Amino acid sequence: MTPQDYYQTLGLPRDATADEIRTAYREAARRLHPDLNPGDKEAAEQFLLVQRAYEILSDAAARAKYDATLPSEIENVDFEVVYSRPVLPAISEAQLVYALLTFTAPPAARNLPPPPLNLCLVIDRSTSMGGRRMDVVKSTTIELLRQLKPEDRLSIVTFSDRAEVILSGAQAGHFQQIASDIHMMRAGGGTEIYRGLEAGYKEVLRYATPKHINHIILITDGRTYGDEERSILLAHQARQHNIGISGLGIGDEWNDVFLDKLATTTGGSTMFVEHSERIKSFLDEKFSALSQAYAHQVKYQYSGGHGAQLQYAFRLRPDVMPIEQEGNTLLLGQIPVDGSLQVLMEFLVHPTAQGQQRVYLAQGQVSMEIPLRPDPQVVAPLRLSRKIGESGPITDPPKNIVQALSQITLYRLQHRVQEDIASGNIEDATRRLQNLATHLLAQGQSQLARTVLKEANQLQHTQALSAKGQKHIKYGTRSLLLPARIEDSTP
Amino acid sequence: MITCPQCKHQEPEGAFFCSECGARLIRLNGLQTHSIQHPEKPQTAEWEVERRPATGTDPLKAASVVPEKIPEDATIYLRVLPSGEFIPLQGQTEFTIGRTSKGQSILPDVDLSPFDAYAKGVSRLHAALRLENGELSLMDLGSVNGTYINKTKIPPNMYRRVQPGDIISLGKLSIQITLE
Repeated sequence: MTPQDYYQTLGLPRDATADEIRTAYREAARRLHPDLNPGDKEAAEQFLLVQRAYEILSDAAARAKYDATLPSEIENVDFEVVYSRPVLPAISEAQLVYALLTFTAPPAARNLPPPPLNLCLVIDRSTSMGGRRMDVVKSTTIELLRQLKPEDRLSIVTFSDRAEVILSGAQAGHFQQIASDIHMMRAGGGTEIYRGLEAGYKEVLRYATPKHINHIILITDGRTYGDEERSILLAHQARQHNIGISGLGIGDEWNDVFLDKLATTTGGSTMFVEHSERIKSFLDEKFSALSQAYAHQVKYQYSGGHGAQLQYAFRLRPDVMPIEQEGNTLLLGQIPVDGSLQVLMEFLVHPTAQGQQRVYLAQGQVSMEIPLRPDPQVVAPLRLSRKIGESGPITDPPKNIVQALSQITLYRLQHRVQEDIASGNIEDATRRLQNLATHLLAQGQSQLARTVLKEANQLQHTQALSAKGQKHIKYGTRSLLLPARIEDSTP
Repeated sequence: MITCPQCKHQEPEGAFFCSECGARLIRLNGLQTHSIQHPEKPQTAEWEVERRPATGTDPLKAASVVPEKIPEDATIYLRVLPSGEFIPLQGQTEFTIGRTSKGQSILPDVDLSPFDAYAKGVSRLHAALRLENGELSLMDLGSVNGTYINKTKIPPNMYRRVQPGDIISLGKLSIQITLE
């Protein structure tokens, strides 16, 4: 039997105040008192548990000692939340509060074998992919084949205006035949991403098991026309089956908004490479990131606390992506074996009511798949809340939150530039780009700053950004958030 | 509400950065942010709940109510608006600001010619900025189009106290004083 969790007994968060503990205890004790429930054995037992919980939690020393023995709130995962403020002031206007969620695999996970992969590469073989791009994709694919572990499965689909399955659920071995099939791939035709995605999805679905990391990697350099909506619907279907989609965009012409949407819908990521030389390092990275997943499909299903509203969520580790809100579910991503999944959330807290002691930002449950567990699914309740009251001495906000926000702010500025341009507001967009350049310079990002200034100029003359500059700015500001910068943002 | 010192956009309490222009609204090490005294509405921009009382409506008086020493090792920058380019001020305690033209015998320490100074009505020797005992002050050198601190015109040939964050205008060219 699991030991009694005193906080759960009283229905309290772990950082409950002494007042909250007292109130919760009195309420429970009144409800469960033997005088009111004669002969009710269950109530009597509950009453004793509540007594015991209050005994410990109302005594500061005993509570501290007890807190130290508490396991993580989520089974099999080290979990931590840091807020931008320890206590929220009671004020009659709206205020912002930030929560930084960090999920880390337990140290023992490093010694476990990596989970098997079930991947499909969906490769654009339209005319523009011809030459160097196709050559690099081919040689990289063959190399990835050699890295397969015995339980891995790899499928390859190529597409132009139709899709072809080159490889279906191949396992390690049989390289010769496969390699020659891959070499046969020829560029030619248009770009119809839906056809490729659909074939890739079917392949991954065919071999999908709860034990596998199921993922589609879409490699493209072009725009698809008219089938975006169908593709997004397919991504939703993939999400239902715990299949992630990641996009690798090559050059300037691909549709970043579309690829981002596919990725955020399924918990995948988008990458941008300008030169074909970098395709290999990006695919390698994606491959090893996937095979180092400890848990995947980490989701937070929440009902907004009535006291606050989630403004946005942003993944900072292991890769950097904005997280989309789909109904009341946030698909957070995966927890790597030797690192963390980190997500920053911004909440707008409504004006507090008189006498209010605590504001609930979001409450719900976290779920995830840990393939190495006998029962892969782990579910745990998660409630984000803050106390309201007198703040103590002014302390610095947590450095990591400030640091992350300074860069998310730049990414969001860039996003607003796009919105300004879309609504024809060139003047605001130009001013914002100039601001962005100033901040980039201040952060030592002089190359990216120059690109931004150049685009500001271009914007005034042509009322639009160049496709290349726009992607550099978007993925450049995004990659500022990476711990070790891997993306080269040189134009 | 917090008012962004740079673009005057209003952000909710608890914000760390301005969502409009990206400026940081808090200062680390437990220090307060620079509060720009605004003629119409004195505003606070502390990151914690403590509120500073309103300090009147005259920006110059307000500035003297809240003296803020400039650390000796700090570098002062002039941030030329709207391009946002920074000009560092180093090696001296007094700087003349103006523009250059052909045949000019006395050159200003800070030459604003690259920023369209002529078209914006900057005089050749327009103003002087002085750093003394950790205090910054600005004097208009009898310019044609005048010098303004936070949109308030100052009389010529008299030093007026300025603070990091203040926006000074030489004619129509605006510059913000910043610290690094």
